[in-house]
Amino acid sequence: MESLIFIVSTLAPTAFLVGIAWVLPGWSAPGLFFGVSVEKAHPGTPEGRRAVGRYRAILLGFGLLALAVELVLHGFVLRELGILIALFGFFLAYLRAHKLTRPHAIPEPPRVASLGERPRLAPLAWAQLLPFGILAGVSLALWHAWPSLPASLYTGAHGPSGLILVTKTPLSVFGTPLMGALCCGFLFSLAAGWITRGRRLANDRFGASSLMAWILIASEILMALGTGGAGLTPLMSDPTGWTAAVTACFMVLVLGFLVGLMTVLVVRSHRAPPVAAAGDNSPDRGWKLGLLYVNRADPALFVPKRFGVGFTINFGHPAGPWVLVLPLAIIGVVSWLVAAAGHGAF
Amino acid sequence: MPRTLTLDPSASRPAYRQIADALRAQLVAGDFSPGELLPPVRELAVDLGVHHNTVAEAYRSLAEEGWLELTRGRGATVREREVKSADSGVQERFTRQLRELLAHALAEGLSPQDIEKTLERVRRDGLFGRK
Repeated sequence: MESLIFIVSTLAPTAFLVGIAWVLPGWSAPGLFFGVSVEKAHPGTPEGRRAVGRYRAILLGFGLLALAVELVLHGFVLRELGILIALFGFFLAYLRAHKLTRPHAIPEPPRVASLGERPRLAPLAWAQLLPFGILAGVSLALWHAWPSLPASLYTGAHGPSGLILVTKTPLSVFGTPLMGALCCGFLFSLAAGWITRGRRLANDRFGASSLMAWILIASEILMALGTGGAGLTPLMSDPTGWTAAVTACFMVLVLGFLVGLMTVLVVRSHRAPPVAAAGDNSPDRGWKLGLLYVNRADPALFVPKRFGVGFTINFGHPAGPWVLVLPLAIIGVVSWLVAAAGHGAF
Repeated sequence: MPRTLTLDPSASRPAYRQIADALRAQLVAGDFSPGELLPPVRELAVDLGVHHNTVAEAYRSLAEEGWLELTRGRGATVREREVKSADSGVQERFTRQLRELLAHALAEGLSPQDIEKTLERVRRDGLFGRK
């Protein structure tokens, strides 16, 4: 069981990250390459292939280093160190390729917008209630069992040597499902904002808006299952035994979701764009390193990423920084309060 | 083929004029049927990366020409437009603008054959609509 948890929680995410980063250069909108507006044919030129080669060499080097660190130093260092090394390598590889591509930038191509109807959140609108329903069910179970709960109990809070006993307070008992609901709400608001206030590209072969709705609901359900499962810990007389098994099952679910998502993305990446347009309707000057978008003249709150699939915030929009900072601040404060409630450990 | 609208940020023509011209071309070609709704101003502005007023101005000018009906809360609806009989002023203006456009194209390096081919392609694509 230990080795299974190690594989699905440590090695697999790192390998997954390197795998998905490997194919990302081919997933940009036509006319975009490593965050730069280029001629559509540029990726096939020797300079384009050189940039991809350099990117993948750095990525692979850091990826192997990350896996080696995880395997050799397992148990001695932070479990997240491997993934941090892989992320750092990904960032370095991107920066190198971006720098190699910048001299080939072209003036902004014509912007093309679809005049068709924008997809709405429905029919997934009611499905958004499911994760909140799961967490409400967990909270009801805890509420029902409240009188019979002991004064000191396990809530899923961890110390250096595993689960720790904490004092029974409303925040320590209901804190985990509350955190789950806040995180689900944050995910929901981000995706709803993207679908209703985000830029839709006419040349989007991934169908980003509808795909986002499905990713949203799957992430929310996973989040609700994870936090809901951990939230039920106070009802277990001896949770130390089953926690490992539940964690392993949950990690397998997460991994299955990620592999499924990647399969969908790979299949969709082979589609031809519905419209033969280049670029992403945003000027190069609004992009910092092709990663951060800051453009006050653009009314879009969310814009498609230039490198990768998904969206990013327009930090030049008056609401841009708040969309990220405010929910994270609320989640941070509640998380601190829940952690503080757990400090009454015996 | 999905209906699209193209805007050239490097063109000298104002953005609202480009949007109005591109929409008018599709309205003339009959790509929109009467009663159909155009995308809301905010959505089109977000998709094109231009200010809301730019799209609103384009819609207003098309409404003044009788192509659209603007209703608060409902948006821009395509109208059944009566074809007016052109007076001599319209004919003269069209001839002058066409001469200027042809001179501009020749000055930019297009050959008369290229221009003729382009005109033929535009005619084939339905310049005069499907009516």
